[in-house]
Amino acid sequence: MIGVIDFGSGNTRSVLRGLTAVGASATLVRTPDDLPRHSRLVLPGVGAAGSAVRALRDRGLWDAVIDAAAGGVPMLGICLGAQLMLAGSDEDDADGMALLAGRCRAFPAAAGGGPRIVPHVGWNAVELAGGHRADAYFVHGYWLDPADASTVVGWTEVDGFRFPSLLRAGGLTATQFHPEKSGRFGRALLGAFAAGLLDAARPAVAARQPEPSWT
Amino acid sequence: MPLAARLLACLDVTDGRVVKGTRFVDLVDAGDPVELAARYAADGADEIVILDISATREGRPAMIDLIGRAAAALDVPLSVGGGVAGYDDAARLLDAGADKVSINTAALRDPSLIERIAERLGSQSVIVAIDAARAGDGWIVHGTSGTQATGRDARSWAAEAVERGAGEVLLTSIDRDGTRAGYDLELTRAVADAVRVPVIASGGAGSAADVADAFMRGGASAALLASILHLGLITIPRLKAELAAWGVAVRPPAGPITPQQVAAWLG
Repeated sequence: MIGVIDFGSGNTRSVLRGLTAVGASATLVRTPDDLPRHSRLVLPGVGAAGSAVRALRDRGLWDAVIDAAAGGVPMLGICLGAQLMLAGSDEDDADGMALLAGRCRAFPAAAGGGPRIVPHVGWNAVELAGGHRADAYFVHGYWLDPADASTVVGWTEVDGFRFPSLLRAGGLTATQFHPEKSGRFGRALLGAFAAGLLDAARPAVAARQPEPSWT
Repeated sequence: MPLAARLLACLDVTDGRVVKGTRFVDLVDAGDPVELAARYAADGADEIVILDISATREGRPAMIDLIGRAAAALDVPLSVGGGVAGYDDAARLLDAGADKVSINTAALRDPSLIERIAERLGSQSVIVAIDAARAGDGWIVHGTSGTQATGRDARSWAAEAVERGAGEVLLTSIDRDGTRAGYDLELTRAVADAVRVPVIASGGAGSAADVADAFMRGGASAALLASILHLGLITIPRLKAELAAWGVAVRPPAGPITPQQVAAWLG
């Protein structure tokens, strides 16, 4: 059973619908007591970081979600939910859950190399490993800046500004885009998470080499 | 592909039924907005807009049920507009499954409504719709479905709306609406230059060239398409092909993809 953390964010039901559409069983997590019943968690989120942090704390979910994710429960963070997984945000100078090292930053001004139009709204390509690309739907005014570049598995570019749009570390997956609104790619990503295909720690490249045979 | 120019398919709905005709002859129920919305999304529409043009508030409750069903059937964003009178209306529509609500006359009457929605539900959920008609060197904003001139200048109202928290501006040229004579490119450009958020051009699309102009000359981020689609003057795949040929970045059709493939791509 997947638990979708409900702290009053606008896309919670859309995420729940998206998971249901891919055949997953998912319910809302409204209190810390609801958490232990779930084998995987989704942290959705739209809107401002400051009020999201307050809402999570008011409901007693902030520490409980950190404990669960740090304790190894696989978690998918979406948009603002992804940003909350870092250690802090320029938006409202909000705290982060620090599940991933790094900070969520404001886009620079257009004159400073930033996007011409902010927020970054619409369909854009996510560049994945192996030259794969997929189109996804974005709505955000801040970008993920993880301290560990090896956690970045997807990049996106707008007006020449390149930013990480998909992070993975252990059982944590963070998408700056909205998989629940991203057509076939988004549905497949939700399906992969629901099926446990993103649970395992991302293996280092070296670990994929076949073991030498001594026979 | 850089950020794609967005094509928004707009359905006019009253009492839960689609008002204008549609080119899809094989729909089970051509009047069902959900079926039509899903069809446009499958055809490549980047977002769906449902506009409630019910003449009375009696038709409104049907919208909540409709939005819930449409959201469940769609895997692209859904915006809803028409008759959103206050915060409670907006919150109900978003709760029912809309990703964004567009507000127009209510925001003109009480601009602080934009702030109240943006602060509690996020700027990304608020589209301020502006109906503007040319007047001398500028454009005057009209309320109440374009029937009442307000005296507000379109550029300064757009800037104020964004300042108050609007995440996007849906800009309709009253002069061009329904004419299929092309978008008012000067109006589009003037407003796009006045704000940093995306501007959605609306009113007047009659051809692929008109839509290309909205992006290339008007500076729009998105184009609202209604009768040009409903009357079958062009299809979304054809329109995207023509836009791409002119150098406008569009979202290409996505092929089938499995969870296993995505998991492999995410390493």
